[in-house]
Amino acid sequence: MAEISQQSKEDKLAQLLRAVFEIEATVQRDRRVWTTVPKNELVSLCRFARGLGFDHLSAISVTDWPKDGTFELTYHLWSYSLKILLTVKTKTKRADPQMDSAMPIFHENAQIHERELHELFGVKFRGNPDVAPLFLEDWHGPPPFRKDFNWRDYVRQRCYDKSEEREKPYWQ
Amino acid sequence: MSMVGTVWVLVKGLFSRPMTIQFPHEAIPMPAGYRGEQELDLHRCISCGLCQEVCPNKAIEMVKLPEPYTQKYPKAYPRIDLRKCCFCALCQDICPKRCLNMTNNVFLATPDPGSLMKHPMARLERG
Amino acid sequence: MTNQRNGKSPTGNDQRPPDTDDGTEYDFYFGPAHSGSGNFGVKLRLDGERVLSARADPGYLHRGFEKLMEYRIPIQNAVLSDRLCVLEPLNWNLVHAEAVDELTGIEVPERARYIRVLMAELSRLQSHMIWYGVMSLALGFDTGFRLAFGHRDYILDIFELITGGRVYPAGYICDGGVRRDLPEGYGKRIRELLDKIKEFMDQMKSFDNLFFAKRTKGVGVLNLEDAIRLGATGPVLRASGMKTDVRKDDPYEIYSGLDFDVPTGKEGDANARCTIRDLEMEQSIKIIRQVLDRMPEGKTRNPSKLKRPSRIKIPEGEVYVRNEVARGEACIYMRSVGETGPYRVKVRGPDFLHMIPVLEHLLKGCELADVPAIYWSLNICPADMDR
Repeated sequence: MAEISQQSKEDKLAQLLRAVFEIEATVQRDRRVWTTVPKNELVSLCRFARGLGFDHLSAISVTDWPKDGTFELTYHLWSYSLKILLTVKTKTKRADPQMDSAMPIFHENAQIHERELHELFGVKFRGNPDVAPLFLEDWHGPPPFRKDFNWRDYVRQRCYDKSEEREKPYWQ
Repeated sequence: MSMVGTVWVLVKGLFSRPMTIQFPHEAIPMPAGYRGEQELDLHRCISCGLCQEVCPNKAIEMVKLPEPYTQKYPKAYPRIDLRKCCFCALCQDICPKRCLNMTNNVFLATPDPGSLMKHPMARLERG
Repeated sequence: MTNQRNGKSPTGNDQRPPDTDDGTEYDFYFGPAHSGSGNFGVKLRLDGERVLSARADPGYLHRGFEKLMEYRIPIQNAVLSDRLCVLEPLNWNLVHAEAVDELTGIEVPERARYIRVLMAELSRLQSHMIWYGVMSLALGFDTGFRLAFGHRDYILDIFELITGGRVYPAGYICDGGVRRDLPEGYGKRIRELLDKIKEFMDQMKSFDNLFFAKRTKGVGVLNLEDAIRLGATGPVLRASGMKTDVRKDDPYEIYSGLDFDVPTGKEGDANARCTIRDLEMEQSIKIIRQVLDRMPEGKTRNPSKLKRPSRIKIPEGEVYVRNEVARGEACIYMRSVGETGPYRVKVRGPDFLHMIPVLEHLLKGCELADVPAIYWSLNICPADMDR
């Protein structure tokens, strides 16, 4: 019996999201629900989810799709009461990536994740007051985790010497 | 009263064996299967190059042996750079003929960094 | 600004507004070359002995794992995943292996699942012993440090026996199962080890009131609302009052069939976190005994032999895996497009939240002498913050 009620919990959540926001929501397996929203509805969906009990923001991540010219952001929200992980995906333009910050809903938790993504991918979050670099110091190049930044060539030029026997394999 | 418990524990410690192993006067017990330096059996190597492909640090390179040995050992054999090796034993797991194995030799410190490039020639000379 | 411990300011100047600088304010770098801070620095702004504000300075251990993993196949990534946090490599191996298993859809053999849980719990046990040792060292109790690291060595001997290496198991828990089978006589050796650890835990209890209680009670109080807002997980959140554990709420491997408790605290101070650590060690021992009794026979990896690297392809898909490592909630988001390696790996470590928002919040308003107690009671590991 517990199995059946577990199943319907994720399905119920997916149905609710479809009804309120008119978006696609899929149930990947138990405790995992994935959904996609347009960029301008993300913050209101997060606020709605917070109201349902999703008060833990586990991570925010960015995937770079240079061929499509988009950055895909994923927000992973966990609910301690419902015990479901809701992942919200959205897209933004790669040429000028701008997003509304999730800080009004998740406060410092969102702030630190957005600070990291700003440094590594160059995504601008409107409303995030502190995006000082976290890991890199004196870095003046492009955001390093993007797919078009060839970090291998950068490292080869700066650190390795092709004429040395030991370092030849790095040029293959 | 908690002081008594603490003092009792410390007094018991005075009469028990120390945990330290007095190396090099005592030997450190090393189990079989420890991931130390590699050993290679040149007779069985078929030169498939899988060890070179799987090495995460590109520490293995397939090289040919110099002239007098090419008659008996015509193919290319793995040369391992111990300065890059992380001793993960993926090369041992993937070798189809089981001729590349990890021993438990960990006494590799040497003042001569050039000697850490383990050429297959050295394995022949060792016999 | 008042002292968190008893409401009184040490200099007696409660009336003075906090922003006037009459020359007693200075910056103090509790920094990376300091012997009490690990590879991480905190910039403190002090007024006499009181901390006015703290600013975390991460980045000393940034190696770019998320990018490195994109260029390697899963078995090489398993070797790399040890190094995500050196203090608990087997737990991180498990997170990565689960992510790849869920993407490929492979059925992991039953024996491999039990071995994975055994190794993960042993790793959690030794990580908590490091926590105990380093916390004692920070508070000035040198004997506790030596005893903890000495007894931890017995656990490292077990790792050496099973995986072939003491600290880095070289991707022992890999995609599809585990790399090697358990050797003969492992059960007897692990049971002997558990007796030794029990002895150590009795010693710990005898030291508790004398050394730890005075310096950690009432220090670094984190209430539940703040803990959830700042993103704390694991022992830090449990000490603040929330009874949650990823092994119970979002079970993975065989945890849903095992019997163990989730210790919770109430006060949210450093002492509560230390007590939770001791109780969690007991629970880990309980889990290890259950796994040893129930270990089934069978294969240890599916497929049994390593495949040629160029023939491996991860099916397309995306997955988000959550695990409970010794420090909190560890997650990996993996996205694959059908190539030999993943397209994007995002690693979420518990310390990313503990070392920046939580630490800055807790250090505000405390005394300088309490800074080590608060800092190390959060069980920080710069490696999985910087990745």
